[in-house]
Amino acid sequence: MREITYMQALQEAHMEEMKRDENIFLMGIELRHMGSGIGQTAGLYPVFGPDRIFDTPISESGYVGTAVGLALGGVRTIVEVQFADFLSYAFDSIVNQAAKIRYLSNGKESVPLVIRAPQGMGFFFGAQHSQCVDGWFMNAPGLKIAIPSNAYDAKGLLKTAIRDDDPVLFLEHKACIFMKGEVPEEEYTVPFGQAKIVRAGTDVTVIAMQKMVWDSLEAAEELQKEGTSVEIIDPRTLIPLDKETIFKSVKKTGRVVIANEAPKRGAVSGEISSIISENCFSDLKAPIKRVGAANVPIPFGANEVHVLPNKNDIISAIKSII
Amino acid sequence: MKYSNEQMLSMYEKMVLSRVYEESVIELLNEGKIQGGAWHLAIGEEAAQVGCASALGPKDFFEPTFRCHGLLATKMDINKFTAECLCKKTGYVGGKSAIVHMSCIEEGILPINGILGAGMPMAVGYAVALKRKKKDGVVVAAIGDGASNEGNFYEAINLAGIMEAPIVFFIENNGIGFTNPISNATKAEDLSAKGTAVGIPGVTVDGNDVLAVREAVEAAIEKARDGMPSIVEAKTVRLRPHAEGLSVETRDPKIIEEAKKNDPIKRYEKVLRGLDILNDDKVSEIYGKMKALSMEAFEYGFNSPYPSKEELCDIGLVYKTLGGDLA
Repeated sequence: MREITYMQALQEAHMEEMKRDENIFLMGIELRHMGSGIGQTAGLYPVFGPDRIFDTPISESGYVGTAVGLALGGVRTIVEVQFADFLSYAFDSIVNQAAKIRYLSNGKESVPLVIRAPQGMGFFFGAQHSQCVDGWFMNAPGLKIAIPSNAYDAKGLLKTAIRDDDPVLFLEHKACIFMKGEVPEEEYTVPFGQAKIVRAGTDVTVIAMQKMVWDSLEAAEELQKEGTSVEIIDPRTLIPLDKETIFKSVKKTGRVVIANEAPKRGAVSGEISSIISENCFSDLKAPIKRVGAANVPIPFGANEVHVLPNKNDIISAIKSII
Repeated sequence: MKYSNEQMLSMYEKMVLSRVYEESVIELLNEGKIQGGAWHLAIGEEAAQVGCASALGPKDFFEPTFRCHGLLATKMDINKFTAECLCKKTGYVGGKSAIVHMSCIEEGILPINGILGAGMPMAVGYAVALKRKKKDGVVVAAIGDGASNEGNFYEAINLAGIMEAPIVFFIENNGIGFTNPISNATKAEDLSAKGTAVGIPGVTVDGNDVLAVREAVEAAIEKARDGMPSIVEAKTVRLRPHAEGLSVETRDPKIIEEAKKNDPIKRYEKVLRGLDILNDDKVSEIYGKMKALSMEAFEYGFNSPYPSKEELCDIGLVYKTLGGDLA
């Protein structure tokens, strides 16, 4: 099968969906000349032009709010925020507006909106351009959250997100975006709420997200040499979360490590850990371990390695419960 | 006169209903029949509100503030509106929103917002959606003087300009935000001038003159239809505290007494008497009718059931596209 990068997969998803449905409108900063912050929408502007693609001013709160209004008005809208860290400016538009409109209208209205933003490490840009922000949004009913780790899922999940009638926060990952992966030429989508067993194993379950999936794979290869068999699960979407796949694996291995790149305190990992404890307590042979960043802001440049989690942290966590 | 006698009278009736409905709220609160907290009354602001709302055509959309009970009682089904204010199942959105987040888009009412200023960018987006879908409507988005200090307001008026959105920003300047007088909130004299910073025009009118407000908003709507957004500021005075049962009056009583001399309903009544549209009998007939309408609406609300736990926790009302574990 052909291999393309995660970024090319995103470009293709946009291109195919916008050709399929002329009601799709794309807005964000630097789409025309730069093809998005990193290049996720490169090649689209010459095809669709200013009627379908709107270059916004630097005004995240305002333009994400405007995107919510467009979606409420029936325009299927994709809005990009250049770095996920800037979602703090757009937080109200996402959490208090987009996510609540359907409920507050008693199910009469809906908001077909995708908010795309790259999160996580990879660029060494420090405390305000490197954060993993998925945990910020886990407590918002009405929102869906997709977190692809590879090219295939990036394309398939983005297509599903665009076709979904609810607001979807689509968090790309900067350390994964230049990675290549197998992506078929033909049309496909990846449904929400279906985790992927990235690697089958019997001794320990590692639930890993985005770059942590890749670090977990390396960790698993090393541990295999020592005779430990690691199963890796990529949830792919956090809301909805595929609990069944997780439970099945936990019942088999009885040991769990959860790896998410955000600061450990209050991260998604804690939520997943609780769900496992509530449902699989009698299957557990050891305490659930979480791998995450230190609870400090991310320092700039190469210094970030002292704060962010990596393969070695995953290995240590696994070893501590084997 | 620009308007027919029928239109002139209709505006008066709406102002009276607006006033009487809100006075009924005070009465019912005093009798302990309803609970305080969310009743942000607009007594004294009827000319600004009715003038603005009367300018809208049948295909236009209005985004109210939550200080809009009386006006919405005139604009929406008064029974369903009141039931929603009381969080009842028979309300516009099944009792989930009260006035604070209510909407009824098929009747032209865009979502009211509990986050001040947050509705402004959404209103711009909705207006752009109308334009994209080639629908012949504009959005009139109302905001108070206090909320016009929010960053979202500035971002929205800027975006409206560059997106050539068919929208009018209506600032109902009642001179006070909660208990904070406007002089403590901004150095700006005329809030319509805020448009200058982003290149859209603005006009300030006497918000206690219903005809002046209507004419200004109508002119702004005409501009908006051509993709020229603008601001209309109506200066008025709030005669009640911020919210009934929640806050007390902190202003000098003289300010309120002075403002009552410029009561917008009395002022407009004079105009209509001068035109022989109103007389004593007609006035008392209208007041009586509006009081009955208001009380019937509250009775309807009182007699309506609350929604059940199942209805309130229905995940199908949270998400439209189901699939996966969303609960």
